[in-house]
Amino acid sequence: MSGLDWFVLIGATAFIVIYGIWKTRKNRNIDSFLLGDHKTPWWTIGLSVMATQASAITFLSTPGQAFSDGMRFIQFYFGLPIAMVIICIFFIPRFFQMKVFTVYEYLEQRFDLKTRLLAAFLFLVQRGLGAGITIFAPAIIFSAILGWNLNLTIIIIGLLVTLYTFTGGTTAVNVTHKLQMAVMMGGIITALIMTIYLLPEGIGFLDSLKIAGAHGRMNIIDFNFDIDNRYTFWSGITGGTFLALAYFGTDQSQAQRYLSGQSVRQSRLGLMFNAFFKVPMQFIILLTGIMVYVFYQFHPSPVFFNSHVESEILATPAKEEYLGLKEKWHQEYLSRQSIYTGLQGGDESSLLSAELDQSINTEKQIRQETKLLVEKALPEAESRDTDYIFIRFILDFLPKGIIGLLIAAILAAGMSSTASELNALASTTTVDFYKRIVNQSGSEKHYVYASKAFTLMWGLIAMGFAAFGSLFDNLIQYVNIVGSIFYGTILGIFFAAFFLKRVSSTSVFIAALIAEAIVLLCFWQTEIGFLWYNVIGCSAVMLFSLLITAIGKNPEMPFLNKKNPG
Amino acid sequence: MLPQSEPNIPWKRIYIFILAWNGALIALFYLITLIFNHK
Repeated sequence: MSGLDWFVLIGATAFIVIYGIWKTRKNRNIDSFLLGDHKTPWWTIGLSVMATQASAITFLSTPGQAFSDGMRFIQFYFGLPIAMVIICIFFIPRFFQMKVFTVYEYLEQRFDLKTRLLAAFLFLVQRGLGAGITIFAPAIIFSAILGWNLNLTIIIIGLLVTLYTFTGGTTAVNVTHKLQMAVMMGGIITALIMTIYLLPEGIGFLDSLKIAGAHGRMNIIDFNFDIDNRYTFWSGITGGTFLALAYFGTDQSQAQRYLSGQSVRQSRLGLMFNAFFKVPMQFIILLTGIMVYVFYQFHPSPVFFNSHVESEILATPAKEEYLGLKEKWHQEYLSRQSIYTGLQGGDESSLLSAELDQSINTEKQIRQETKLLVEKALPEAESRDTDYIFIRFILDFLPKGIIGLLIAAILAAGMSSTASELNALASTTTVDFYKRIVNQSGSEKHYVYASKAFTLMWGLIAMGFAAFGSLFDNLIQYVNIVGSIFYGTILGIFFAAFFLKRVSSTSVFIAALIAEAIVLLCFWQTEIGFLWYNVIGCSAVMLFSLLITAIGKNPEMPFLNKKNPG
Repeated sequence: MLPQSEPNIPWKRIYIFILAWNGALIALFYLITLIFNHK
């Protein structure tokens, strides 16, 4: 990275952190620290919700995913606008009516303390793990590609986020989110424009879409119903809706964004903002990955994008085999240029030719062979290189200054999600456990100090977990699945609270435990895609709570039919 | 539930608009798939 890149990166990051601290230096009570005095306008809520969901991995992995698998990942987001409408109608009015700090507080008012604590505990487990990963994921990629020290990167990212979340609480998280979204969107739109600009003469934007289509990368919609296929229209519209309902409706890191709204109206408009812009935003990110793919049709590309693993493999006995694959890859690239010769003159027949089909298959085969070689020669190394495609493209081909902007955008994305997570973890620990169980008679000031202490504690836990992250294989993927293992059950508890008026609190609690056991069984014993865990967990809670309530009407089992407090 | 000072918002229309927007995007994406994707 050049001096200009460092200037842009440090300048943008420092400005965001300092602005966040300065703007929110006067937090005096718990309402101000945890819910920003209920002063957040709708457009800040909308941007904050989007910034919370956009992590560094969104910016690093999504273009790579489009590069290797096409646009079909967009279908994952089709359920999101539906979920936003459901949350606006059923969730937000109830949370505002009961004036809750955390969504789990609502469960005690509706059911009882143990149901509230169960949901809050499940949240702390999965989000606590998630916070470590949101710091670890970009740090491991930056350390591999840029040569940054892994632990130092983790500490710097972790400390910066903890600093402004500790100082300014929810307001600091919300105000920094606005700037972070500006940097992220500025970065990704610049990257998209640059990839189009870098295409060879005679190849326009529409031509590049045709090339991507000829390579099967424009597979945006797939109406085939296949339960093992993770990204289809059907899994997106059903599993995606349930996942988005659980994430935005019951995950405190998201709920805290709209609970800080001035009113029900402002919070609803914030979520509508997200419902309107989220799918187009993901489309732009995926399209950037497609443009990078087309760009590499006319420029030599690495056969394996993780340069760190590549240098490691060159130091093993597999070196010759690897260099052979690299040469084969380059020859394939050269032969494809002859297929494309007519394309720049407007002749598109080559895109449907058997030679191109053959070349695409050979390309796939060489990439697969390289992956297998990496797995064989370096069993401990990450053989999946899709997370490294976009960052390698940025560093190799984008001009000075723009590189700094894009690295700042990726860091901003990492910090924005981590900040919401720390903020929510601290709020849940303070409100649902400390204030509810340990100390109910503290002053406002006392709870602000407690919240700050818990922010610091979770920041340190996240950094510690991220530092040990490299010891575990496929950690990122595992933690993503852990989210879905718990989400369905938590959503089921909330659905039972909203829609099943006659179920007893004990029956919901027992049903939640049974549902969680069923989801864990699905995880260990079946091949069902993890998006479906949300549907299974939620349905199981509702079904079993109805069943147990019915059994509880039997006079021999009165303990199952305890009266609801709310 | 809404504070008195805030004007009434036609929420039903907003929700229908958002769902229609989602549907329109899906239709557009399907069209792009049909036009460009050859695999």
